[in-house]
Amino acid sequence: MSKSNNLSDFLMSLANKLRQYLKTSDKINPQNFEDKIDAVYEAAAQEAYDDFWDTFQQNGERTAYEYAFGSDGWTNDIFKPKYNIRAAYGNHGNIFSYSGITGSLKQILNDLGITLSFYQKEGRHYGANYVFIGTKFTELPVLDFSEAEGNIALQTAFSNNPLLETIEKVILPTDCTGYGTNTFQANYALKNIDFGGTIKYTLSFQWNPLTADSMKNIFDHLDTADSDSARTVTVKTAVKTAYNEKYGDWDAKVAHYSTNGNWTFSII
Amino acid sequence: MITDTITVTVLRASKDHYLTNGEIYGKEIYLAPNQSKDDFHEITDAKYNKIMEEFDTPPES
Repeated sequence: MSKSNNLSDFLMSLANKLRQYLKTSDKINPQNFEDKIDAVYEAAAQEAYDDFWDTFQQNGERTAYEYAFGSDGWTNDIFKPKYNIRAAYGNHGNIFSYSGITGSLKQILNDLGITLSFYQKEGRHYGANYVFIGTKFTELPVLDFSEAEGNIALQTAFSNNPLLETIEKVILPTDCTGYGTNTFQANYALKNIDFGGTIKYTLSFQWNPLTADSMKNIFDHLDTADSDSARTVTVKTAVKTAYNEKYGDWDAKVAHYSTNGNWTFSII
Repeated sequence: MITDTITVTVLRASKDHYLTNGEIYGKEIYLAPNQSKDDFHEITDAKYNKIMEEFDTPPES
């Protein structure tokens, strides 16, 4: 910094410093200093953002995201990924487990222009168990788990989310036994859920105040192929009541899937 | 036209009880064709709530 007592020299020195940080040789007039100081701050913030996220997401090449955004140290102010999150299935999959990020993950990702997807690395047979356990999300986006494998692939994947009301869509694994009683456990606010794929194994919604439309969606995705073993869907009494009030064919639906697919229905 | 009548066996628990076969719990159970009512027995609400406490406790973070 110039130590001159001459104002002109001082202003020139300041302009030079601003040009240095802004990496420009353009003339900068004093009346623009305030804007240029803002630009320096924003450039520094952008550089810090790029440095962190380029490293954290390996310039977009990162695939191992287990525990990446878990724990309450991650908040909405900090969760600003630069690259799409393409996560390889892992042994535990706790990508967002107990995260401090709040609100609609669907909206957050939309606002950032980021997508979240999952895939199976060659030679591996893992799933996404614990992926959204214990979060503070109110809404989750479309989640394609069609490549998940293993007998714990989606166990506790969505459990213990007290604020979760909507899952836009869960595309189920094409063929694995890894979901069941605890996949949606203790989600006391979960009302809206859509499925993709086929529900082939026992699923329990005993904690979830699902809408009639969500129940219809469950019916529509039940596997109707022959099955040697009984499979069970568990729902709350209020869900059965709401479904019947809107669609009126609970008994017929139950009879159909009991015979076509060997489904048991438990009302709790 | 072919008409079929499908019968589904429904079990309903007594007041203040749940039905269970050790894996499935419910107040009403619509049995699949290869299930028997003999597979199910009643437990009290209190016992059921105790069992469910385990589900409400999340795993360690």
